[in-house]
Amino acid sequence: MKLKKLFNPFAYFSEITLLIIGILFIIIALFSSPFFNALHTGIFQVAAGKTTSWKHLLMLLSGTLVPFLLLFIMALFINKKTRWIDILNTALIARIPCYVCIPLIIFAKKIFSVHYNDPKAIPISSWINVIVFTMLNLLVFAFSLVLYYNGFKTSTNARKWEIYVLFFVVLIIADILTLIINYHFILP
Amino acid sequence: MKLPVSCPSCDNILSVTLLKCNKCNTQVNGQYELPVFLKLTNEEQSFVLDFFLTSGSIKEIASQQGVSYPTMRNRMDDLIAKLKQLQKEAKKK
Repeated sequence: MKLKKLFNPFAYFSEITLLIIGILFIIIALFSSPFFNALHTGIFQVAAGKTTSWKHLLMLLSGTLVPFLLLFIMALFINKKTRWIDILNTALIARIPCYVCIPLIIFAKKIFSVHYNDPKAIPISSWINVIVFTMLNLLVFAFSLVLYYNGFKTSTNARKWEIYVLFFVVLIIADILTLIINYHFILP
Repeated sequence: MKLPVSCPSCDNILSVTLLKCNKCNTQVNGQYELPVFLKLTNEEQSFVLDFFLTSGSIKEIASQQGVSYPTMRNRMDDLIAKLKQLQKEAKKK
């Protein structure tokens, strides 16, 4: 039951609880991102770098609002009864694994960037670190994806597999759009 | 005792063929369709009853059962779809 709540909180918690938790984690990410020199450039991407607090906030907002808007438009085509707050909560909650694992992601990226030009120079201990952190990063990505999927499924009550293929396409489009907005309009 | 609504052998919906007066033992034989509401499973019937008893508030019934509003609304939508299907089948007969 606890695992079910962890992987699909949308089925058990009220919209207000989820909204408060989602906003709380955005605030935590807003303060922790500059501390770890992390930039939330896409929905699933975290890059190493420095910027102003305002730009951090705008990037966090674009990473939440872009998938929210695209998924909500899609949800209305599937089920007209879909509430905007349920999709917004999906976009907020599904990003939490990325916020929580900022130190992990940044550490993994540092290991990669140090040895990027000469992979032969990587000592075995660093290889183990690289493998472990890559696996953990993949788990974070998978967990985030599961939360997006469960949130969307609970909000729309969609059943057909074709809808979920389209859902993943829309999510990829949202990710690309977020990257474009962040790299071309917010970061420069 | 729970009223069985579907056949334990093939899952088809059962019908009433015998009614009996408990006072004078008069028996009525025939082929009667179960009302649509009785064709639902026991869980579905108690869900409809709970919904009615909360004055039709999805929010209230959701908080009573410890689930979120969209989960309860989805359950409701599925039930509405099933009832419509049963009504259609009943009209055909």
